[in-house]
Amino acid sequence: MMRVRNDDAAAYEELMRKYQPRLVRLMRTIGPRPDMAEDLAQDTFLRVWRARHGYKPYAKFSTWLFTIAANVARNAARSQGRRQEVNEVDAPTTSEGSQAVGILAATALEASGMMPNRLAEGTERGAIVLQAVQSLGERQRTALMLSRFENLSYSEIAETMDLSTKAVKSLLSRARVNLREILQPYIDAGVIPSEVQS
Amino acid sequence: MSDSVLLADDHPVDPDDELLVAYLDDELDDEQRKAVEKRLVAEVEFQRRLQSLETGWEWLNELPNESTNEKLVESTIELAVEDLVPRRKSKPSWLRQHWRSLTFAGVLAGSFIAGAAGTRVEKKLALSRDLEELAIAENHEAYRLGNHFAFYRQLAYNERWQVMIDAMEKIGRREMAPPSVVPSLPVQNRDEAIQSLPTETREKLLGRWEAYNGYDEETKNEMRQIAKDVRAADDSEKLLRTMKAASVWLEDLSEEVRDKLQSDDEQIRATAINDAIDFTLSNLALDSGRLINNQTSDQIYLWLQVLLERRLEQDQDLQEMYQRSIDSALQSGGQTEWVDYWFARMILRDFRRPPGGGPGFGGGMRFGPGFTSAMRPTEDREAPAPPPPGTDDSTRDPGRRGPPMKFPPPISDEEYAELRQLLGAKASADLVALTSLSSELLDNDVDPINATLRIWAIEAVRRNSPVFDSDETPLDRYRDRENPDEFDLLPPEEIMNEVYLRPNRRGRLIGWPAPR
Repeated sequence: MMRVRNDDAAAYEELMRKYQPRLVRLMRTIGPRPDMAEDLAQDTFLRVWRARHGYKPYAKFSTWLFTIAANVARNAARSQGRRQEVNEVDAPTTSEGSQAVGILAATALEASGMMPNRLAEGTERGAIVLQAVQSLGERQRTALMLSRFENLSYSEIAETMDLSTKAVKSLLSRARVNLREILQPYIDAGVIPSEVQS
Repeated sequence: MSDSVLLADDHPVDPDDELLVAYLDDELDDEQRKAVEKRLVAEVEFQRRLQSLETGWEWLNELPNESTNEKLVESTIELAVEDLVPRRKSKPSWLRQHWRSLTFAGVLAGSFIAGAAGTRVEKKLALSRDLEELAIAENHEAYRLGNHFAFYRQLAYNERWQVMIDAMEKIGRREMAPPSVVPSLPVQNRDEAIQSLPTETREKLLGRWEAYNGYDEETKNEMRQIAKDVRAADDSEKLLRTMKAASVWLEDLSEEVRDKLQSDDEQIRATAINDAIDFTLSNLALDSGRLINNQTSDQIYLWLQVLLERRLEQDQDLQEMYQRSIDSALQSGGQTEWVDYWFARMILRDFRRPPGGGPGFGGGMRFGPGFTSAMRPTEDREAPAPPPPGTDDSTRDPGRRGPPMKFPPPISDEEYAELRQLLGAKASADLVALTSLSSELLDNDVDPINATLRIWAIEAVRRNSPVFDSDETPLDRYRDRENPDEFDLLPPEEIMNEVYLRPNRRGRLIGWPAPR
């Protein structure tokens, strides 16, 4: 990043290649819609470029990048008309949350008669997990993704999300408990929900 | 109406869930972690809760991975370039005012486009240069030694030096010349490769990088040149390894010795190398005594007491001499422990005193003639007459007056073999590590295993002397146990005895001296 700060284009390209897949994956889960992930990742990289001269060498680059990414995702959610969900609830919406549990738990059980003992595999399972993560509140899923995939410590996540470490600890606990609640019935039933099959 | 079963951000979290999540995320301190682990062992429900939290987490692995989207990279670069280019389209008056900035922006944009267009060779070269610098930083202590390659080669091909380095590694539990990691890093994906290094390696590398950047440019240039010369050498790997080990070794030598080692006169260097190796090995021999823990020390001391009992039983004269010493000590109000202490030293044939003649011993090896003679028992020398017990000085040595001094027989090879059988796993492993290398250094008539065991026995006697001043706290002694798990299972009373008390020769438990 120090080279990017000095307008080194090759270094910028290198940074993009390194972080792009991770950033897109992050955006797919924390952004308002999965299909917006690449646009949001690009927006994040452009902001990095524009803010390059303000980068402080003592800041860990990944923390800085994910801070920008979280802001980009939040702004996108707002512009998608989801301001209320982000600001007020900052957690699973009533309909979304219950729907997620409903889909995954109820349909798993109902579908067991049609497709007994069948376990989801590959992309199917990935889609189910993605759906489960997206049903979490924005802050929970951001903290969860940063912890799980970027290996950020609680204090780094706190820095990225502008929260206290204690708040991150609680967020991650809720995220894990919620994830368990969403996935457990499905994991126990071992069948694919009909919504995911299509 | 909400029918969501999910926890919102303001919903209270079950404290156990929070604790377990922090445990899974490795965010607990030692004490908290141990408490969680104890509960996990004791509470089935707690275990289940942990497993359920792990289940959902593991499923996150199923999220699809993304790969680099080249089109996205290119289009992002184009957008970044556009960020710079519009400045050219300003009004002429403004252009005149800002022509310098625009020229710069133009050049920048041009170079940016050129770079983005894929000057892969240039990029690769730049990356290679970075890695080259990092490689120098990784070994900066070695390159900082200078370019005295004749000296390094003299060391590299000196068999005694190699064996000494091996000994230093085994006793010091450290690698004197750890392999360099930077050369194995790929030029492309360099950052990822560094990130994937073990944390300790990465932090060491970072520390070295920072230290290297602390040098002025002139020093850096010298180091770059030395690094280049080393790389160009036929024996570059061996040379660098030697320089790395030498940089550690030289730290413990005096400035005078270091000057001689770096002399231009090969003969002076050769003599200095031999002397310095002797000096280092003498210290290593002494340090090998420090390797043993108190458990081993106690074992060895008790074994020595058994040997003394045997000798007293077998030799009437010796028994009488021992008894006279005890009586004399008692009459003069001295400590009878000193009698045991001196008899143990006589069995070990350890009569050396440090310069200045303090009550200690063995420390004389620091100033002695070197590893081999220091390790050899002084059996063939005339033993100094120990001071008689009962006077100020006499409490330190029995039998100066009265009938002629009689020495108990020294320790036989069979008895050393017996001691070896008594040692625990760690002490045995240390013994093997220390003695697998010593044979070349020792005189033919000195068995390296027995010589090392003798050093340890001397250390055990020292630790059990009536005036031994231990730096150790009960907590140190607790941590020092060889089999901590087994030790923890002992009844509390036994643990307390082990930690707070030590056996004397007569099997009585006495307290450890208070730490200084």
